Amino acid sequence: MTTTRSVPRAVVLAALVVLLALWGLGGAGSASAHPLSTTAVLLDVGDTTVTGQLQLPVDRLAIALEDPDLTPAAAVAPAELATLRDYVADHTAARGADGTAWSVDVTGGRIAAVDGVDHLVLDLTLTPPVGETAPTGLFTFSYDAIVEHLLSHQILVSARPAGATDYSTVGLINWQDHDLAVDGFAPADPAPAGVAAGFATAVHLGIEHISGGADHLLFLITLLLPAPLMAARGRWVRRPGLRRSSWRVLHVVTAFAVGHSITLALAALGYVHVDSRVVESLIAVSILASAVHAMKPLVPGGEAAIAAGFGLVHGLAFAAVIDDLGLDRGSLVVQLLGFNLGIELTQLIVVALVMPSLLLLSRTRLYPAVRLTGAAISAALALGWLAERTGLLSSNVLDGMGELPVARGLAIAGGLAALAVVAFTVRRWRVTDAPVATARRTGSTRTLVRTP
Amino acid sequence: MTVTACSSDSSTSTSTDSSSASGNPGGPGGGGPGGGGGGVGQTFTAVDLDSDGVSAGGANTAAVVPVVQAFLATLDADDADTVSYDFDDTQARTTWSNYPQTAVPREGIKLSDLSEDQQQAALAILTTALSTDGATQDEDIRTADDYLMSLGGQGADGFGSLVDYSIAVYGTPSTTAPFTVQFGGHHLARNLTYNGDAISQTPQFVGTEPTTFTVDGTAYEPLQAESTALFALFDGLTDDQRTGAEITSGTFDDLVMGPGVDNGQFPETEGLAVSELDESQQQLVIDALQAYVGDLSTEAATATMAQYTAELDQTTIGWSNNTGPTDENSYLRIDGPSVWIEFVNTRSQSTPDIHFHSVYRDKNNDYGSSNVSG
Repeated sequence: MTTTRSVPRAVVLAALVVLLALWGLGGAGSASAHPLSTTAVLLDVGDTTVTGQLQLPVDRLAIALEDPDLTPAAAVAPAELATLRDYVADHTAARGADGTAWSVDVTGGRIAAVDGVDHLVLDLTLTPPVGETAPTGLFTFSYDAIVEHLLSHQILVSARPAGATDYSTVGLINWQDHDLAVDGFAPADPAPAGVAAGFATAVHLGIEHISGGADHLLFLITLLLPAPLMAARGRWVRRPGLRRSSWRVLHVVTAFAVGHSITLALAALGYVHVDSRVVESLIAVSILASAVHAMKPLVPGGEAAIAAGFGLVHGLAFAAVIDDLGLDRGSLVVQLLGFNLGIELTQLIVVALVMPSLLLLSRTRLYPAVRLTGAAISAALALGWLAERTGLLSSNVLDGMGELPVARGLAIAGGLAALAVVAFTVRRWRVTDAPVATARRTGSTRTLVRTP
Repeated sequence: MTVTACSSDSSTSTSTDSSSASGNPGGPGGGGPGGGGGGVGQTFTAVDLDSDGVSAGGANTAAVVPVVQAFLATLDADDADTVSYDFDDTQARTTWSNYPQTAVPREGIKLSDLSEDQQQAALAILTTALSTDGATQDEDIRTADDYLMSLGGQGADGFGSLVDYSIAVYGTPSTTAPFTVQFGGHHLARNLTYNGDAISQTPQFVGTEPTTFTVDGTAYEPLQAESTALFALFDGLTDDQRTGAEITSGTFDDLVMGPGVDNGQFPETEGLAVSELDESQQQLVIDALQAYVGDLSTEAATATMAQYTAELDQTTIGWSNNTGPTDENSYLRIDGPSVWIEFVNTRSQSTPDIHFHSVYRDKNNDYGSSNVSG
């Protein structure tokens, strides 16, 4: 290769990398000048059933059904949605390797924009007859919704073992052939190990999600900033006694856990669905609220209530993750427990890492500054996220903060601990156990100071 | 083996990104494959191709071989390797598309990766293999991509008459053994398979977006010959003929025998027999066929036209949705014992109007093979 040629290639390559990175970040910018008019079928092959998601472009559905009035809004009107579910179910089938027909269940129904095109998203469950052995290793998926009439339509079928991260393309269904063999996607482990492995995966995912999701942890930590204090006349004042402060921490953590567990379960079981944009915006609001509360008590003694209330919102966000696991209905409860356990474990670890430092700092004169600085940082991040998630900002300059690497988290916790120890070692910064009002009067009597 | 063409971001959009701060990694809105990430959804599978296609002959193989050799001689070893494929690499040979390269990468080397001299050598293959009409059409279709890029519509990034067009050579250029020259990009696919006197120019895909445009004072209409003849044909039908010609098995928003559909299975014949048409109407069918077949060098095109004209009595025409040049989803078809032509007004997100997609296949000679099968 000549050098004159390799330079432009390097430039092209670099430009491509930048482009790809931009796509990855923005998620927008489809490369096609054509309508993305294909149906996508995403199958999660479990041990006992196959679940999946069907994404049908609404405008193509309208052509296929010869119903020009079928707009995205009309498609999810209850009566119309029921009809559409029936239509899709009538055009979906699955057979086991031995030819036995599986039951087809089409549920759900919501509109999601995929690359700017409105799609009707339906949930699919394919269940082999009871007693069929190794049912989901190999099966034939048959599907001809839309393409039965709109002959130029194409359906891209992808699959993954339940719990796996990435989908692989199985093939394309077009007017010629509506059957596709789905082979080699069964979870690697047999059923009992599968449940255990699924549980472990879910625990891991829970840990990964919350430790990577700075917004959830920031909410919790910000809410705990005033835990060693008590509200008096609309201000924060010191609270005597480590014991009561620790109780407060426990209340807040428990209340948050209860809150998010409720909505996580409800959403994962399909009883609740809230638009992810709304959920994410509300999470930013929750951080903002806890930051304001850390500056000036909003609800005296109400941290537990705040934690429980906004915990409900955070649970909805967790549910989006578990939704993505592609769970079998059978193992849903187990995985739900595992996922939640992962979240709780991580929260407890973070609280254990950070709270001793905060409690120690609360026994120093630095604490008001620490608390206000922490609250201000939280508020700034929350405002940034809020602007981004409500669409005011196209991208968030603070976004790097959203992905909190474990190493950076440990560094922050370590720095806080060092600060606490140093501050506490400096005698003149140390304060007594007495409430502020009392401490002012007795502040000069150093003999009263004891290490808590 | 199957290769799936997806836009480049599909792999990331399908993965569970647990580090997302939003707490909503890859929900349905985030897009799965296909629906999401740009599920172009074109797959190319190795198919069983022989070199016994039924050709009317007349190939100018002796003229084409030296220009292909001359082009290959301009390349260094790496690039020559990039351009050259085994003749039996049928998966690569069937890789062509109506999507730009950003969505469906082509085989071979892009014109933009070649020096100006090398580009001239590559394009000389087309001017030798094709008629003036055919080579001009290729230039005009490429110009349409520059124009579309200049409009800056949604998704029109990375287009262009050089960056989007690639050339590949399958087998060794020879006057006695089969070889294929493949040239194409967004809205163009030329698959020219030579085997001595035998020639195949199918599958041939032509399209243009927009349908007409003006650059530097020159008006372009890359599919003028095809669209004029076909729309005139269907516009001239009597009411009864029109009713008889309507395809009722389904509806269309694009081609059914487009890229990736290479298993040789064509739809059941539907529509109106050409034998039901009067002489002037039949002439319009011949004009339409000529618009596609005539892209090839004259002697071969004449031989093929003689074959298709002889088969006219067993040929049908069909339409669906609409028959106007600017109507939504106008779908027109010519279906004979050998020839298969589809023409459709289709939509994109780049421009507000419909644009043209069209495919020409030969049921007994696609890729120079007698037995296209999956």
